[in-house]
Amino acid sequence: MGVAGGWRALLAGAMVAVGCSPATPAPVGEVLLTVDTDAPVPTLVSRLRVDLFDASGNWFASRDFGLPDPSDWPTSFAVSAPGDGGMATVTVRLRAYPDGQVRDYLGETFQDWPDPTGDPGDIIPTPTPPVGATPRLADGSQDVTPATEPQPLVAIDRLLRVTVVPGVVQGGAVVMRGACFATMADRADDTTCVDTEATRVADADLPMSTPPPAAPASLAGTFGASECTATPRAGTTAADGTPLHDAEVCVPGGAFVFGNEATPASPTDTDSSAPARVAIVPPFLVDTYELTVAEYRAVLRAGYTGPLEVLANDTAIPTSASSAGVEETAPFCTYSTQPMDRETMPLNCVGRPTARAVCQFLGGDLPTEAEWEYVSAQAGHASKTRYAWGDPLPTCLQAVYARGVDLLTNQIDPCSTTLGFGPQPVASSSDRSVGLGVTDLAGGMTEWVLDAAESLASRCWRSAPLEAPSCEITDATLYSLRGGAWVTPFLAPVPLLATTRADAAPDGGNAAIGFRCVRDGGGS
Amino acid sequence: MRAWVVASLLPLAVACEQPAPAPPAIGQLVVWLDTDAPLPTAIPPGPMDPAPLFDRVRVDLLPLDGTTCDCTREFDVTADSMNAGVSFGVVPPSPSGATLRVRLFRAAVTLDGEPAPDSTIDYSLAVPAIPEGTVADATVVLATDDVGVPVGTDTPIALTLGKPGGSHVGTWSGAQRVDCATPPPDGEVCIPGGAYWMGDPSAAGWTDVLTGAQRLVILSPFAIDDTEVTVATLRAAGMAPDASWSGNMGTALLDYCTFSTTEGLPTDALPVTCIDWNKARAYCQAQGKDLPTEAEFEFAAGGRHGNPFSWGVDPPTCPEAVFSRWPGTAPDCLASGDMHGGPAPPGSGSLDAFALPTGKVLDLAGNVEEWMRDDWNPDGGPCWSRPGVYADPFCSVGATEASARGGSWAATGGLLRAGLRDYGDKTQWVNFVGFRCARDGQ
Repeated sequence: MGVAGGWRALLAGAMVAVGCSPATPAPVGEVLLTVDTDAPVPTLVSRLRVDLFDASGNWFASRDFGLPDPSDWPTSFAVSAPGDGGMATVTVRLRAYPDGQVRDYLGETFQDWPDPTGDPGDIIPTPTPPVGATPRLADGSQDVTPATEPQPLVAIDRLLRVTVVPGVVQGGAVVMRGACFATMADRADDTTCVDTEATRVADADLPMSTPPPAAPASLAGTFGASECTATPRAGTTAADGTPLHDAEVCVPGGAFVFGNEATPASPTDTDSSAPARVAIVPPFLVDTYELTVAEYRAVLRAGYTGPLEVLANDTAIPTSASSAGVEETAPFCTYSTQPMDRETMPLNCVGRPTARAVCQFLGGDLPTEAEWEYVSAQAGHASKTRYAWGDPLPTCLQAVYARGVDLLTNQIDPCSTTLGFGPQPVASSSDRSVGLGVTDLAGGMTEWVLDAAESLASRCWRSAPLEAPSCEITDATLYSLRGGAWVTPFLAPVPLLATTRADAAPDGGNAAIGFRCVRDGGGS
Repeated sequence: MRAWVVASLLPLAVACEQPAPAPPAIGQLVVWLDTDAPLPTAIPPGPMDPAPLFDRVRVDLLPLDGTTCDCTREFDVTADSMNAGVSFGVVPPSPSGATLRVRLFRAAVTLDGEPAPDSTIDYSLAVPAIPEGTVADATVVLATDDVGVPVGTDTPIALTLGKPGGSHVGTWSGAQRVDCATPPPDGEVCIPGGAYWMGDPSAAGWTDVLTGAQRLVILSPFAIDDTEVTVATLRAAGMAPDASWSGNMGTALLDYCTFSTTEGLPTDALPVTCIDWNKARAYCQAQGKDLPTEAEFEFAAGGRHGNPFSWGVDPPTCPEAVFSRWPGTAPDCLASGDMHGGPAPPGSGSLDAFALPTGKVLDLAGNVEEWMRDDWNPDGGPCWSRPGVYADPFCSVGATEASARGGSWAATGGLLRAGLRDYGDKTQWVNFVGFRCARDGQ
């Protein structure tokens, strides 16, 4: 398609001047700042918050620009000095962050990365300054302080200094580096992250040139991205022709917003999905299906010797249950000593030590929560979605859920009335992730994952690095679970959401819990 | 006065897959945008001011000859930028023409990356032929009244040629503040009328009735009780709920029924619980009031701005609202071993107060869940499924169930969000549901 069929760029970028009074006589000195980012746009960065402070540290201007298109970057804007137009040093605070990731502004609340040593379950509280704490932004006598500020764990926070010289228009360029996500700038000692994770240095004068430098090509999208170079296993069958459903998908690495500010839980609960944070997920291979009964049988044949905490059930699964909770018990376990008609069902009634050992026997491990959420909600998606298939709400045909007993009425849940009660074979619904086609992430079986069950506000998560974050605790009381299950109630489908977290004791496997495995994807 | 000086023209680049060479021989169009909706302002709106309703524009050019064109561009709009003039250039595909789709929406509310239809103004416009070598101006005025109902989808509407005659940002009548005609009596707070987004897309899928649907609602002014109705207040009116306090502080259901006919018990100051909808409404009507509507309650609970909480966006911590106080359920907001859970006297949560110049409304987020005047009807039902703007919505469909709103002492912190919906049978009662009253403010 040539230009005739399209749009023509009139002028790149939006130019907005930060100025003194319109009455200020010319010539006014000006610094043209060109700001780029290496973070993916708009996944991790779609807004730029700009705050200006004078030499005495007084906050004199604040703006927040929406820059949702990769072509918006690099962006540029002009800074002029407050006051009489004389030479002035201005401290510029830049924060790059995604839409919607804000918190109430209560005053400056610098918080460093927490010390990783200490009880991993400790909740790291958000500092709460006294009501009315400084700094505030005033316009004359009017308080014009923005009500919100970027949530620090999903913001790149950068301080820099520029000197505005009367009559001179000069410029400088800065790159907001993804490595600086979650490393807050400290206004008290003027230190800021420049390009190294969790590392702040003294803010410095930005190198200037006259005329301002030409805008470079944007680096947007280069942070955190990596190819999956491993070869996924193709699906195989047992000697008797039973499909093992052991195919894998290669997941390219990437960075995304892990967690969800909106969560039904209280922030201190172990199943809280808040606060959201940035996670870089290296490439990995993931099982397309939950591990099936047939695949477990194949693992046993291949020499796997244990642990063997899998409850066998040598009778037919009942076609109904009398009350909620009953369907999580032994009669609903899928594994049988000798093959029955449940070989393509996901394995359940399995303890976490066994699940993990089986994955390790297969050359991998349980997925981390970050890997699990990334493959469910982000990898292959244009934007992060509620469910593996996108944002539409679940239906009986979309995912295997509501196949048990209603919590309130103790009647059979509606999806089981039309589609059958009890656990179902893998991939028997439209529960496939966008792009990659990974099945039963929302429904089927709730899945064991690698991490211990701690709030995302805990020391364990808050001190975890950007890359491959996890909360691994040996011999934890509770471990995390992800995803919904065939028993997930129709009235309360919240476990189907990709960001919902749950937990169980490691020996707490039941008929609603299964697992899938991941393997190294050959990336960084 | 300090001001951000915005360039008089805010040009926006919209690029196709190939960089533009020299100006084409064919004509081009400069499209200017205007709207009557309130947009984000440099000075943040206070609780008495209109909230911005939209903040982003998406523009797509769709060639009529069926070819595809990677011609989508998204950009922020603010009151400042719109007042200064927002425009973009279009080079119409020749010769078959094109449709220009312009959507004004909320950046934070998308579905599979597309603007959510129920909160989007969506116009499809026919791009006219422009004589070769000329540049024409056209103006698109995005009218708030058209929200949720796409215009020109089947037959694109004609573009209005010419530049806009000045900005209309913020002039939409629905968003204007309307104060109460007279100050309400003591114990009530006037919530001035205005407009907001009802519904909480962030909670979609939490229960079967939370769909994430939203609608633009215009409300007339109303006055609302500043507290939930307490035991002492109900008793003084000569009324009683369905069940009374057991006298114990434990885990039994009746331990959190707060009412007693005996005066002077520690439960006197607590919100009434264990009262059905009929009795709650009868009390309000006896006072010359009624239960608040769902739309009224959510307007107040979202700080008149459709926020998750009356105080802003952060969920509460334990001292900030009354929630997670079910004894024996760990971890929660009770000290270990503390069996004295349940509701608390009004105003016990340090943050749970919607402060207006006209007064403070307490416990809209936590303490007890509250009966609403509306019949229960799900988002997809006849009361709530119509697209477009709703004025003073109230659902009356003869249902046996009524709506209930607000979090409670029995809920976790995330369930205190203003937009969450719940319901119960009008003749049933539970120990975490109470009520407050409201009255028309006109």
